[in-house]
Amino acid sequence: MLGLRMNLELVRKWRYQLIPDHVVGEILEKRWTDNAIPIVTLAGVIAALYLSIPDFFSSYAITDYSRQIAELGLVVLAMTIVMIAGGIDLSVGSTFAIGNFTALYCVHILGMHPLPAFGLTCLSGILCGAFNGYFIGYLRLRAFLTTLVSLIIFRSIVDLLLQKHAVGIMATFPDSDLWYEIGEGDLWGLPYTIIATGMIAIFVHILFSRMRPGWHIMAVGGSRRSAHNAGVNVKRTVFLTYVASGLLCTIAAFMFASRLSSASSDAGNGLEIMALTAAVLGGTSLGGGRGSVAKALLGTAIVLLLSNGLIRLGIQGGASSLIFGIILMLAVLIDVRWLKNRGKILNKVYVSPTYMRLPPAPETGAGGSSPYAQNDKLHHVEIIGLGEIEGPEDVILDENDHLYAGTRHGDVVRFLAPDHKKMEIFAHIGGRPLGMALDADGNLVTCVASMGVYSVSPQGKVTKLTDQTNRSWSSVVDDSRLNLADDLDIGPDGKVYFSEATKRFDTHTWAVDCLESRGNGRIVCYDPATDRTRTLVSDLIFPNGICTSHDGQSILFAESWACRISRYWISGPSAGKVEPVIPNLPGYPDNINRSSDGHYWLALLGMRGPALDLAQTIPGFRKRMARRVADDSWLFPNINTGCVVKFNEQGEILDALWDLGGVNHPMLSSMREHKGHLYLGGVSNNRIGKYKIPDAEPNWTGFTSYWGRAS
Amino acid sequence: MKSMYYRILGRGDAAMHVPVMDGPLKPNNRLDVAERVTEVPELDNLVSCEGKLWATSETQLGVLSNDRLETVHTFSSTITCLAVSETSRLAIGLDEGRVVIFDPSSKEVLDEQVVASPTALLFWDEDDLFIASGSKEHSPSEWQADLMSEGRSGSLTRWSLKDGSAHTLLSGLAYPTGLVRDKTDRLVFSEAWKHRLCVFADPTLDGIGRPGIEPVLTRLPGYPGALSLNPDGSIWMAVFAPRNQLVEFVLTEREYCTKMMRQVDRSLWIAPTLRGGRNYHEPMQWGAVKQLGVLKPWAPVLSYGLAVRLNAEFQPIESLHSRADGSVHGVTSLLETRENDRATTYAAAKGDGVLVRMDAGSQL
Repeated sequence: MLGLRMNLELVRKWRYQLIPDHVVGEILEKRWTDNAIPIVTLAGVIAALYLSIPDFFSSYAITDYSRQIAELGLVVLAMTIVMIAGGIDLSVGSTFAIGNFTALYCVHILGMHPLPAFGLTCLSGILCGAFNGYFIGYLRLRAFLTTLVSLIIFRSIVDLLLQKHAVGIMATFPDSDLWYEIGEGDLWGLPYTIIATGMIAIFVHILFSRMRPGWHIMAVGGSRRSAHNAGVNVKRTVFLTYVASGLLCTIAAFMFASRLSSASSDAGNGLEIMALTAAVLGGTSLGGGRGSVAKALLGTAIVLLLSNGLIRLGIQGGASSLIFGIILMLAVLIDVRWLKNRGKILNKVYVSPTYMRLPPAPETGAGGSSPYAQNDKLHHVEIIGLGEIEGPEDVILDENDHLYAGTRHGDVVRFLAPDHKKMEIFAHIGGRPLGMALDADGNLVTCVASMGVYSVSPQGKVTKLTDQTNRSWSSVVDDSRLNLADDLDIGPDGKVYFSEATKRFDTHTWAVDCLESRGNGRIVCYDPATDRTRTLVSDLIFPNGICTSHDGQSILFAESWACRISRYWISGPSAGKVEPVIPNLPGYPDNINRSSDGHYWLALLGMRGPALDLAQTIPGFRKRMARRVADDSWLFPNINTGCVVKFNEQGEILDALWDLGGVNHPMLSSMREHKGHLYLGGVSNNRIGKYKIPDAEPNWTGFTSYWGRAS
Repeated sequence: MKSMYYRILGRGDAAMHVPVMDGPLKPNNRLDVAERVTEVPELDNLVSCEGKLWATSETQLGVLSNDRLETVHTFSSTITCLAVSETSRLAIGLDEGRVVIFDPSSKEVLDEQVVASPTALLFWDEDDLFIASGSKEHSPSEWQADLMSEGRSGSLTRWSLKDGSAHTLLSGLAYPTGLVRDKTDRLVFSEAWKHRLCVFADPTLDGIGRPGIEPVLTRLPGYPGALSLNPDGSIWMAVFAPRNQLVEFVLTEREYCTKMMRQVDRSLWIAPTLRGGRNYHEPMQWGAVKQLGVLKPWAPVLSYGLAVRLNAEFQPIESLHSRADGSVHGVTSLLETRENDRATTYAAAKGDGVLVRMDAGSQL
């Protein structure tokens, strides 16, 4: 039985090591997942048609489809533009018919040259669009009803005119070669019409992605009121979308007229349903504000291939309309449900825990023989800045004994020597300043969560050192941007070694990373000489404190949720290797700093509890908890109680400082020794503590320890 | 089929709902601002007998005088429940699995009965004692184990002192923890693990025929415990621990729950407790992270102080709270006394080991 249980645990461990659950959430975060459904549909349609109809994709057929795509594509683009602005244009088919008639009348009956005929055709479309746009944009009529009415009106006009001129159009054959060439000619096998449509599509794409009018249309569709408040002329923008729609429809009609010269009243019949189906299938939202040219073209391809396929399969007109209706219904359903639930799904699947088994925690009981045994040494520390400072995650002192700390407001504040009673804002960086170090020139280098690594000169001038590193190959999302730079230290050669605690959570949710306990963090090095930033070690479990060893050959780093301290060699024979120093701590380690007697101080920001340690071995438990329990009720690492310990190069614990049951410093994230005192910071404290270290070297400072001289 | 769908998606019956404290249960800090009479470890079981206030602390039975608990008798194990008859005999439940009848004047044990897990006692009349037993498997001090193993083995027994016979009236209860006879002579009991109050709907109270239970107050936001009848006909209900969404979730996670019960020390379980948050090894929830040194009063915690006054129809009409940051957690016993038209409410918080006192009449 025991053996079976061990095996189950092993299976579980492997399952979570092999299947990266977090990738699902990261993929869902991508905007392009919107296009995933239409692309899969298109691939499915192509595969089905290829397999079921022989010669469906012959070269002749492809040329024919591309001509159809050129025309339908423009109409779908017209529909898309209107839909992105939050409207709908049901009159695209009738406008198309008007354009078709205008083109044929000009060329066949009036005998005009195709170029002025093209101009007049476009004008007819602009007029039709302006009619819709005026009523919908300026008079604020409902788009659906207005375009339904104009659908009927335009169609009736065409029918009336055709009764009079159809025979005339059919009877004449204009002697313009250009006229036939437009519809049937090609350049190196590519029909002219598809080239023209391609150019228009590229222009519309640039319009939407890079130009002001396109952004205005997006803004109006996204939120009319916000767009209005932001100064967008909403009425004109809506008006112009209908004008553009009319124009594009008649351009398509001109191509159609030149290709078929059909004076039938069928031209453009039912086009609005096809265009709407294509737009929605492509992923353009009916609600407005979401859509693109690529989506429109994808939808067009699906609809055209389907309709041709249905014809080739010999399905009757009525039945194929029925099929299109059903497809439209499905597409709308998916559109609505996807839009509504995507955020919800993302929310639910984002936290994706993995397996972790920690060794049994060392004892910490008061009065025990454990080196961690609780005491009240920090009970009577001197308090600095009580109520003035909020969240000094790290503290540091310069050679003039001024005390610096980052705050949750994005400031670096300074308490002036000698008594540290007066506080001033030394520099404002923004973000959340965390770990700090002094470089050889006396600049204060600090990790700023959600911004990167910054340097503050002694005069208070802020300079960005780095905010990105090399992108890792295995990551779905671009992880080059630094998300939560946490602590840093500077090597003897001036290189900045810093930890990024987690790539997946931010300043407010960092502790949720514990529920995942995956290697979401990394150690990164910034070299000021070359201004280059490289990742040194990745897949670390919340790497936190960093400290250059006394001999300058290695850096010590803490992994909070893994409860361990490791050493990374930066020079010497084992350079680049990682080796364990303290494999198993009773709490979650935070910052590490040098002590005057050649050892190291380590802050434990919280203590382990057996309930959470057990939950770490059952990832499914934590996953379901993240989905079903409200987040404020999640089981969490206990970060209300912590302590400071001292350890030596071998990782032996030499001392522990506690404030048990106290109000001053039960919670700690950092400590810094300076001239016989230990200064204590806490990420959610409203004070800094000053503890007199018995038997400490009274003149030792961090700066001289690092740089060997006074600045 | 439906329940499986619910379980996979965590919807419907499988959703983790905890009723909110609203209406008459709206949180306040009245327990915390009340007068602290005395501090006695594990203070519990307040009864009034011969004009004196009796209480228990662990194995000791005592009388409160001059705001101190003076020991009258020490028993062989923790006293779990206490009842007093009209002739001032005391019925005492002991954690080891016995109920004894005790004469306080002679300090003699008059009679005794084996009961697996005595949690509440009630003298119906001089010769009839109702005994609630929380569980077959767990003693009252192991109540968390009974909850986390989804115990449904509680029972209600009628012990006739005249002929010594004992009838089990009801069994399969989810930890009955309070018994009271209301103004209209109905027997009311609290069923803690189902978060409800029930009336024993058997007019003859002899268990013959088809005894049934009728829930009269359900969906409580905590685990109801001791009940006591007040002079005006209202009822005080002690809610000894709060419901917590995480605990409800752990109850559905049987693998985690059984491993936790096997491997983790009971005081460190994810389970309701009479007093939590004192040991940093205990489980903690996100909302309980201190900000700038402050624990928010709304923080999700495993212990709470709550007393609810119910009207004659068993509907809540007022409540006394000690919230997450309070210091009167784990209220297990309440008593209202009336002297010279002045009503005083005593609340014993076993979790924090404190007795508080307040004027009650003015609130009604």
